[in-house]
Amino acid sequence: MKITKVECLVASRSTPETPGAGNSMFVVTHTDEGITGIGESYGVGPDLATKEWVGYFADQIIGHDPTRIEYLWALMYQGARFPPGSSGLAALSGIDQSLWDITARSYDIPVYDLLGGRYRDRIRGYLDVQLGDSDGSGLDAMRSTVREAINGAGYTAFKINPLPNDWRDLPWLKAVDAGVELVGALRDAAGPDAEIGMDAHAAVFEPGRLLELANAHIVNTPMFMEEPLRMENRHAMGELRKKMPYALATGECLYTKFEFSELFRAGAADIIQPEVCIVGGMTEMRKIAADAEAHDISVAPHNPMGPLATTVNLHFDAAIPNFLIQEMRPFTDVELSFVKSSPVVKDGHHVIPTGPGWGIDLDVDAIAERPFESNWYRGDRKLSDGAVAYI
Amino acid sequence: MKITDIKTYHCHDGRRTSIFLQVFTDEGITGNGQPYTIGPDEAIIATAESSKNWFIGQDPSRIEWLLRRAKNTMRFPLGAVEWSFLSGVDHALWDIAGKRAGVPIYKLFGGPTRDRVRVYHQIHGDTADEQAAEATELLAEGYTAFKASMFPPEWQQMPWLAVVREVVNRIGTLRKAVGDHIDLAVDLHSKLREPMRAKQIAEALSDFRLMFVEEPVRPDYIPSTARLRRELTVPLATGENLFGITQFAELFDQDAVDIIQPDLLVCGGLLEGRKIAAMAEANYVTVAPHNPLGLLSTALGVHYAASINNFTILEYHGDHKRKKAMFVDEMWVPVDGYFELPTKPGLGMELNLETIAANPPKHWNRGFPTDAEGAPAFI
Repeated sequence: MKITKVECLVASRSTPETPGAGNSMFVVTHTDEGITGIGESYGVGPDLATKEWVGYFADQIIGHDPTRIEYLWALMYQGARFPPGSSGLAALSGIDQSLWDITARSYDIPVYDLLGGRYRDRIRGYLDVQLGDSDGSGLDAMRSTVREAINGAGYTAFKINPLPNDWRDLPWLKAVDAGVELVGALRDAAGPDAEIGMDAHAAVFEPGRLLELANAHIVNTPMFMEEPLRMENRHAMGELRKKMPYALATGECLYTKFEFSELFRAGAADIIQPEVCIVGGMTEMRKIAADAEAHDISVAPHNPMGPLATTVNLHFDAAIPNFLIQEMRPFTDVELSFVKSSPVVKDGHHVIPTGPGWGIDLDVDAIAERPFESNWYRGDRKLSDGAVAYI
Repeated sequence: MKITDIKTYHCHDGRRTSIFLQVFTDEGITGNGQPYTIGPDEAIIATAESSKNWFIGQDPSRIEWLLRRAKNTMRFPLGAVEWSFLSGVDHALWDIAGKRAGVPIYKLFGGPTRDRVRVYHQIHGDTADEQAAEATELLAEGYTAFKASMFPPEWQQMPWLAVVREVVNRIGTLRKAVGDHIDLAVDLHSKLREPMRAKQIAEALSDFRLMFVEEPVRPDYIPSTARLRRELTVPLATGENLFGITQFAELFDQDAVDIIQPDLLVCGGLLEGRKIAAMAEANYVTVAPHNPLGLLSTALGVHYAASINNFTILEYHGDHKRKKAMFVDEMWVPVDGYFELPTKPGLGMELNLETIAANPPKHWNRGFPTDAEGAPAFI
């Protein structure tokens, strides 16, 4: 079997109601035996750069046997010479996923069988919910989302920001107190047994402030604090973790096994959250999970993506012994239109996908109807004095 | 598909025992494996007998689940017996998975990562001249890398400085015999308890441009290996005595190694071995699998090598010329110091059960060396 064509499909998610919603990025790899594999790339922002990378890598792998995933990964990564960075790794991740899909389809088995087989019967998920502003104006919406999630899909775990959306405009101590109170409202709505993760999203710069925030939230019995600091300094994260009163989760912005190895060496995480659409694909996910396992670290994959990337994660979750919980958010109608089936949540868990391959197909006609409109911008964020804040 | 039975086979080739293991399924596919003959072999066979019911009736594709379930129910940290047994089960389950998919095992792992697999040949002779002659002969067969255990027989009875002189003499003679550009490695086989003595030997050999020095000290206390790695410039190899990902993680976290040498027959098998290789890769460490136990072990090493990117070289003991080759149905022979990749589904090697049955086990142990004072020494 040989690779004949590698496509990068960039589909706009914008609608009249949600302009500037960014793009979904898919990789479709074709072979001379009629088997086609699919993958999803992270929308890092300059999405057309990612498409360029896919084309650059495609030139190197066309004509090769697509089942030589480990070999082709090295061919692309080492061929890039410079560490590829966000757009390059987004492209590599999507291509890598498409090769796993082709390989497992050609053997007529689900991808998780190539990772050591099914390790669990169902896959627990947590739902991302929004806290709103410090005035409590978002609480009713949050409460109804949580009630619906508990009564409908049966969620038993949630994740939320530890600070109100408008925290940058507030005095720090007021922001902390408002965050504790609002998360307390989630705790009340979700009940005493629900697990609540908190995502600081690498937006607080100062380790001391974050520690203050983390300690103030002890009353809400969090499952973890995610990205308490920026991701660049693994040493600072390790120093913070020693003082954290509960689990520290991080890793969505880290690239490849090499950066995760540094994280482990620094003792900087209890839970890692690699993103399969940017970390280097399933090839890297498996290696990182193994390194984490040897260090008694759990894996809770990052996943703000659509049904395809979610399914890719579910294969990983199904096979990996040190999996903890899968991040989820509701898919939009636009995202659902890009695929022919979608993962289902029941009793707070995903059912195990069946394959062959990922066991999910793209609707390429629907994707073609939503061509690229613009790159995605995360918007400007300012501190109260007008200085640039972190997103 | 369901597992219907696990059987072990114990045999003797005139020199040493071998254990083989088979996992049977209700669809007629049988997987082959080989636990390490760690010494009390009967304990491995007894473990297989007493725990095979954990596997019977289960789906053989659930490799991680089956192995982890067994480890967890044993509760206490696994030792050599348990790791050997579970390694053999791992091989057989991957053999079944490959046969079921119709592809060689390395193709289940995203391989092949290479077109052929380089080996170094072990040198066995007792004297410097015997070793040089053996290497010269193997050089003519196309091998381009060698490893020797450099201690002379009865070295524990000799004055230490005489041992150092003799080790230098042996590697010097070997280097002269093979020329300047053949890769040479030295195996100290964790016979030394004293890191200072290991350092002394390694430094005495520094002129011979060694590929690596193996197991310079005992594996039990990893900080001693780490210390030698910091203090020596020659690449340090170790790992044949380590089990599972956590022991290898200790090596990496302490920067104790350049080249790891997991043995697929005791480290936990291919699934564990691939996790170990992944960790090694993140630490810029290469993999040179330990492989003294014959052709089935060599086949596992070849599949493993063809499935990882940080493989460097496979140990080889000339298995195709040795009597225990009769226990398997395939005769893999390296060409110019490389193994070609197999193409048959699964492991690509079956057991000769009649030959195995015709060569029953005899008692085997490694012997009991002592030092000059009569105290126990290391093997």
